[in-house]
Amino acid sequence: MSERRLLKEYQVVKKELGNHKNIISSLEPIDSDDLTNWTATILGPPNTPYHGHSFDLRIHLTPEYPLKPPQVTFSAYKMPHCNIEFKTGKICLNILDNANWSPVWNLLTVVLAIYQLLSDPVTDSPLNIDLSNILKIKDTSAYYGLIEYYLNNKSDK
Amino acid sequence: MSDLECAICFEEFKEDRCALNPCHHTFHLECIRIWHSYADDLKCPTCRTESETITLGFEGVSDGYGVIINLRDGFYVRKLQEFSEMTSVGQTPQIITDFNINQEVEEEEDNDDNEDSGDDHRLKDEGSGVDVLVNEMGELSITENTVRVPSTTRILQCNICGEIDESINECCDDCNTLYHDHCLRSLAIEIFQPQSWELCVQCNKKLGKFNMPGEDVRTFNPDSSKIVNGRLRDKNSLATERIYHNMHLDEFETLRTVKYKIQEHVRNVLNDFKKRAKNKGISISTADFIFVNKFVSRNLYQISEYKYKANEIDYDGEAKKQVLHQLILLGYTNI
Repeated sequence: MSERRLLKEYQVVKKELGNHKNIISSLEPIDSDDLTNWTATILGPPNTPYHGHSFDLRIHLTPEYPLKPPQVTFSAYKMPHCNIEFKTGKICLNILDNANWSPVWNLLTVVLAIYQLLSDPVTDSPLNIDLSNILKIKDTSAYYGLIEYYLNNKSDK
Repeated sequence: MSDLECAICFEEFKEDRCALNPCHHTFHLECIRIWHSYADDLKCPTCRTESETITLGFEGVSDGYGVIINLRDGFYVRKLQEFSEMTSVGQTPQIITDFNINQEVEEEEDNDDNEDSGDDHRLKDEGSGVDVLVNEMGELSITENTVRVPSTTRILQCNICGEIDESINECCDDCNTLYHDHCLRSLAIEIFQPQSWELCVQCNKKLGKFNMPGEDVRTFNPDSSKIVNGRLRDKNSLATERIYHNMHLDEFETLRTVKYKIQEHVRNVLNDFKKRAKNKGISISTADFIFVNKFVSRNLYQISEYKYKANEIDYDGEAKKQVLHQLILLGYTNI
């Protein structure tokens, strides 16, 4: 099931990516012969400190995909967000859990969900404790300021 | 994504489309079964509604029949029509587990044409022939005693889906049970023994080929027909009742006279109404006339328990009341 579905998905992504130009600037397999490793670039959503920046995602599809969720990570040390581990880029998103994943989702919907996560951080399941603590006390300006500081200094890393 | 694709594998549907109930989202049977075995629950991947059953063969949804897999208990077969009607009014679907064709003793409905002895040639004259019967059945296992099959009559029905059509092509030479090729295969997949599809479900013997007879096939409809002594008979006919209850001829005659007497009351009342309507310029259609006549007569037999009780029951008054009620229900309000 996996291989044929990946081929289909490749076609779907090629066809529909144009509709999401403002969100996803690229979504493609790293090597066109191997559809199990993908890379994506998403743009920072407007009205967030991420606006104006772009972020790279790595997507690994296990042989069990689509029955198991894809493994999606941001690049390490690039993404300050309360549900993303800064050191590794690991994402905490409910639909990427085994329990909440559904095979009707595809790569495009997963990337769109991650984009949505950037504007709607969830404090219940933090992977970045510092940011989440600031967000919990609703100090939005401090939260945004800290993120901006991270983002503007990321070139140093 | 189009509706013609399975949302799990993104492949187009061929014959293997099946629908989850109650949400009616469709997937390939294989895909949804694999997904359900992976997931911890039986939810629909699209809408997350907890699923109860799967209808095999999407075509089955539209024509009213289908093979249904109960996701918790396993396989069973039933008339889908009943299922969909019941769910539409918000009731839990009833599962007919063992439909015994001899169990129903319905009120007979008088019909002068049917008061014959019910010979073979009479049924054949009606245009269809009696070589082939179809029975209604509930669960996979149809018990031996529910249907008696004499040499002249053959039950032509897939033992899995209960359907009768051209594509029945497997036959057990041992117990004469018939199957659809595709029903056997889906059943075999369902029980995770894909090799077992060539074996009879009842007796586990290897199946042979079967060719559908070209002649007319008379179908069993539980609403109008009944199988008595292995013959397909009109359910509402008095002759059927007589054979069914093993009545003596004189008993039968008494019953017949009772019916005639009661029917006469109803017919007189109805004729009165017809005349009255005619004076007012309303005409009662023949179909409505017959319907009301049958309906009220049947009710009156029921009240009088098949005995003519002129002293106890006011047949004319009762008939008048009921006829008027039925006519109003049919839309003849000015009578």
